[in-house]
Amino acid sequence: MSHPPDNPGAGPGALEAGRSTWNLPDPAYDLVVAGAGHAGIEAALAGARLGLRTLLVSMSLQTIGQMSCNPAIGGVGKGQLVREIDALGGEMGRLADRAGLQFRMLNRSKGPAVWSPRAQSDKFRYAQLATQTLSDQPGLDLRQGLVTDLVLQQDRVVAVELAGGVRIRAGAVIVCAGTFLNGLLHVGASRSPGGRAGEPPALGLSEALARQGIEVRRYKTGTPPRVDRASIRFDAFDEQWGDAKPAPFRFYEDLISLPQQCCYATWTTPRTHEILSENLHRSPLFTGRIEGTGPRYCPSVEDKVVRFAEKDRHQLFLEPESLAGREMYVNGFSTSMPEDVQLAALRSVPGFEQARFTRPGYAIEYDYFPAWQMDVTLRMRGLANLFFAGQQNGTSGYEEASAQGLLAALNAAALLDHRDPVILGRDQAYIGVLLDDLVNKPLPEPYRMFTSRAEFRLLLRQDNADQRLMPLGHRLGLLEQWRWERFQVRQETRTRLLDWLAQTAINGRALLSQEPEPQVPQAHDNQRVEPNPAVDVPASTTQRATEWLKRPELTLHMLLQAAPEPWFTELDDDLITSVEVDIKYAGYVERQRRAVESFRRNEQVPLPEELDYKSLASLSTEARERLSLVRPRNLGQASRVGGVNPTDIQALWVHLQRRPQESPSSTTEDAVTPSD
Amino acid sequence: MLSEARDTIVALSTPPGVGAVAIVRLSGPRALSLAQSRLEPRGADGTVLLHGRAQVRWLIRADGRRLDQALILAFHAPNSYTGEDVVEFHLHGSPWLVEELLADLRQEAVVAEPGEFTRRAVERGRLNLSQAEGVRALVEARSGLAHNLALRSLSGESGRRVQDLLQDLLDLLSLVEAELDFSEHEIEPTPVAELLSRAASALQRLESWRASWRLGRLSHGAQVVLVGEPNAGKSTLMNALLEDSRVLVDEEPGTTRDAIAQELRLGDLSITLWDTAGLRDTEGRVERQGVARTRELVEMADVILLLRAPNQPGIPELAQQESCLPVLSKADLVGAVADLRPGELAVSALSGVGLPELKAALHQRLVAEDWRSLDLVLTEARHVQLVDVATQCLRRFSAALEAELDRPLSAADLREAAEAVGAIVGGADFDDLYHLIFSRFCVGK
Ligand SMILES: Cc1cc2nc3c(=O)[nH]c(=O)nc-3n(C[C@H](O)[C@H](O)[C@H](O)COP(=O)(O)OP(=O)(O)OC[C@H]3O[C@@H](n4cnc5c(N)ncnc54)[C@H](O)[C@@H]3O)c2cc1C
Ligand SMILES: Nc1nc2c(ncn2[C@@H]2O[C@H](COP(=O)(O)OP(=O)(O)OP(=O)(O)O)[C@@H](O)[C@H]2O)c(=O)[nH]1
Ligand SMILES: [Mg+2]
Repeated sequence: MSHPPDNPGAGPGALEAGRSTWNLPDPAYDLVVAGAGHAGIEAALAGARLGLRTLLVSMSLQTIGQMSCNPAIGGVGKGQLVREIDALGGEMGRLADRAGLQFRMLNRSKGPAVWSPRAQSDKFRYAQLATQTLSDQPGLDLRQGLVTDLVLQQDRVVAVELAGGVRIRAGAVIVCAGTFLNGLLHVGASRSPGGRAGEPPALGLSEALARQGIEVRRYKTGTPPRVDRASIRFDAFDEQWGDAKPAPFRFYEDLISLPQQCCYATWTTPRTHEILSENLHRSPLFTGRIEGTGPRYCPSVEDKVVRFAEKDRHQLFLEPESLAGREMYVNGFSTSMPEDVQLAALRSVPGFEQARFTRPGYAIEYDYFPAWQMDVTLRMRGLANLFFAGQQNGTSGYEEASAQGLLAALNAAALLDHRDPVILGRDQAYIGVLLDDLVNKPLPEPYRMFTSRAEFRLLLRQDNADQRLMPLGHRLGLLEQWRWERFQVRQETRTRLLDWLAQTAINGRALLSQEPEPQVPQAHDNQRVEPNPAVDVPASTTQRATEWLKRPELTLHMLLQAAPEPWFTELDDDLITSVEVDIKYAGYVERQRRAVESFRRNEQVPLPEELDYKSLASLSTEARERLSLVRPRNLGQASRVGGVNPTDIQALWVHLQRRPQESPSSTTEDAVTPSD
Repeated sequence: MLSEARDTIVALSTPPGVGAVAIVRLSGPRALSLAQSRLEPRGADGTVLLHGRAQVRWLIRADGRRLDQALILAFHAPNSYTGEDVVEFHLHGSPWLVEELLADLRQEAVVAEPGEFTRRAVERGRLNLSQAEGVRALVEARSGLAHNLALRSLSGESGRRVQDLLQDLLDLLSLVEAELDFSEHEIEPTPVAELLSRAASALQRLESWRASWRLGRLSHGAQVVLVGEPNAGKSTLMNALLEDSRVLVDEEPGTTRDAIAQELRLGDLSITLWDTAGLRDTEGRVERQGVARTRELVEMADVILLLRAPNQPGIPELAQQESCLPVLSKADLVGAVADLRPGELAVSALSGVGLPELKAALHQRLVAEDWRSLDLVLTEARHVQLVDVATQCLRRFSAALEAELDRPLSAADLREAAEAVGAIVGGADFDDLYHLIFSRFCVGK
């Protein structure tokens, strides 16, 4: 990073001689976002929509919103993130619906608490819609360029520097560089610099940040080959269709319009495993050429064959990448073997005998910045206005990246407008869990969302993301007005439905005549859905609908059909699910609410910003170190910092009790101390 | 006034009073230098007090006057009890000497709060929570049983058993979560029967731990209450058991009007023995209060020694209680044995006949099982509470599985159970789940 030389305290900058006088007038942009991947798109749109003059700079304006890997949005844990982004007023849900080729609610057989929407995407359409949306956004400018450096004045970034030397002034900066920083691609023994297949890496920026003392590490990830659909014999595979009634990510608006496509499932063969095993010596993974750590939940196919040697087959899914092109994505076959091995191995799978690659699989190593260096608003500690979002923070996945981009922008805006930071609690949103985990935990591998990461999972559901987050989205000014109005109307309808359930008496005979709901078999869901058991309820009983609903075999749909009312047309699926779950899970939901309350108690004990953990001898050595790094905002966050144990928290608490109460004036900067 | 750095603390760590030796302990960043300034010849170079090495030196006051010839023992951080620098002064056991030394050291060190040495040890990671509770119990131990149980907890043996259970619960949770979070992958669903049998094994351990509380709570002292009609001979028996004339005895009924407690050692048990006012309907205001107090004690008693003199009707409604041990008193009286009812022990406090049998029966009643054969003995109410929570949660988990309720509900119960068990040993780490899942299942794109 460079410092303008008129800042006397600054270290050696990257400045050339000719540019020694630098005055800094008002920033040309309030917000500069570097990188137009999933994080950058969300960040730039949110910034502009909140009224910031925003610039989105990216290495290429042709690759905005590329799906580097899987042509799909959502999934278990991830689908929840998308719905939350949508409820806050973000863009991802809308893009995914409009580009969606196949929609499925995963975990349909496991209970609404873990239902997770997922959609196959047309990757070209997705990128094109993203580009269009950005271009249409007032207050947002796009510019091609590689950010190589940041210009600092004291602890503030005042400008970004592009390759070639152009500087653009900024009030705040969000870096969203994805997998591009010093990216290195591996296919077999061949290595080439690149940020993604066919694209150059981003050089310079990591080094500039490292010079500021920011720690940089390496992660790796990989992607499977893409295959020409014309070279595939589809009759060898099982067809997998999406849900008959696709559920959109976006709340209150159905933008699904593309013709729905089929996916295919098949299995590797013992021969496939043989080919891979025989060639392990040619894999960069096993020969140690790849040094970065990869995610355990995304092993390459060669990894699987080694680690699960007892299995004689692994499942593969074939997913269309677009309507326009012929490329198919081979889910389950991520690999960085030499191309000849990849091809031989894939061709040993029936149906792929004649397969032709459009692109081979590869692995990528890239720089990331461990997120414990950031605070929970994703601001880099020690720098007043620099935010980091996306894969470069050590996460993996489009949804995780988008969620970070959105939150980083909300916080950049809060910073520039002198408002309170926007922090979502673990009890409020998966996004809250994501950011809290990221900055607090030492992460052994790229971080991906799972529903089990959310301890309050029964409350954080995809069906109620609107109830959880729209009021915040509205308050921040990001949520569209019409959707806020719809939200309020829906809340009334919800109350009306609850009242109706509590008051309406229904006779068992009316329920007996109900047909069990047909269930759609789940494509990727290995456990087949069993048909609903026949409805068997005492015909002579009459009781309130709420009571009926507590019986596992009855659904809210059945009750609504048994005693229809004209206003039921106002009910939509999300509303019905959320009410149904709240009643059916009542005891559990209530217990989790109580747990949330006790969780909040520690969240409400603030830790002073200037607390010197190093001098607190009552803390264990590890806790002292980790807490000095992470600098948690409150006792609750401190308790989640890796390496900090309950006795440390007790000691911290004791320390807080002992601290002399500070006079309120000493906390404000401009306070005048009376001198007499 | 309060510095961020820790104070150096000082305290007498042997029981107050006259004894052969008194130990005064210093702990904290300045323990070594402070001790060196109180030794003759004065040395301050820090090499004088070697770690773990005992030396006999003259102890002096700040002004140089000699105090006592003492044994000095130093432990350097972090290899000490508290994890800080610690110095022990073993003085001749005179209260005056101790007070002089403390007064002198107090100029430069603060007096430790009760339990502060142990708290520091926990905070420095020298002991974990359950070990610390063991230490506290050890210091408080008044009986062989308490001492032994405290030692078990201190050695980390109990802690290990709890860790094992926690590990099993996390393992079980990983099976449940794998099916929820990785349903897109090749996850072999675990048969419900296996989930249930794993839960049952965990439950079994929790239940046996819970049962051990019956014994474990005795380490805090057992409550034994003498109850009977006036003149049953309660006070006389109390004195006989204590082998001391502690309470008043008289042939007048209603002699004892207030409950009186006294410590009694019975083998490896420490017992609080209560003499009480005889139970009867009475006009006397003071006596009525005494009777009310007796009834309260009956409620909390571990064992009621229910006394009845020959020819007294006794108190049938109490005799029904499980905690009741019926005794026929004054067995030396002519014809007394003829009045003996089934289940009653005949005892004479005067002649001593039946006393050994009574003691044996009492011990037997309190310590029904041999604690040495138990997997783990709970000795802290806090742990019992957590075990109860875990038990409840696991029962719900199994019930929900059997009723085929939605899996996330079972998972919530299981997680809560693991949290409760984890809290006994200082926390459960749920990130371990992913390690368990990824090592067992092949998940990936
Ligand atoms: C080979 C491969 C395999 C992957 N496998 C998986 C997977 O299995 N599962 C999964 O969930 N995710 C996977 N991903 C990751 C997925 O692509 C990312 O999670 C997601 O794209 C991250 O979004 P992002 O916005 O952080 O970054 P990206 O989508 O990488 O976007 C970064 C953008 O920033 C631009 N840029 C970078 N540096 C600069 C700079 N200095 N100046 C200007 N512009 C810059 C780039 O041009 C690009 O447009 C994989 C990615 C790759 C490349
Ligand atoms: N022979 C004989 N007399 C006893 C024995 N125990 C008690 N007595 C007598 O019985 C009388 C009452 O004894 P206490 O011990 O005062 O009886 P108590 O149950 O405490 O009576 P209150 O305090 O009035 O409720 C006294 O005169 C005792 O000497 C015994 O074992 N043998
Ligand atoms: Mg008496």
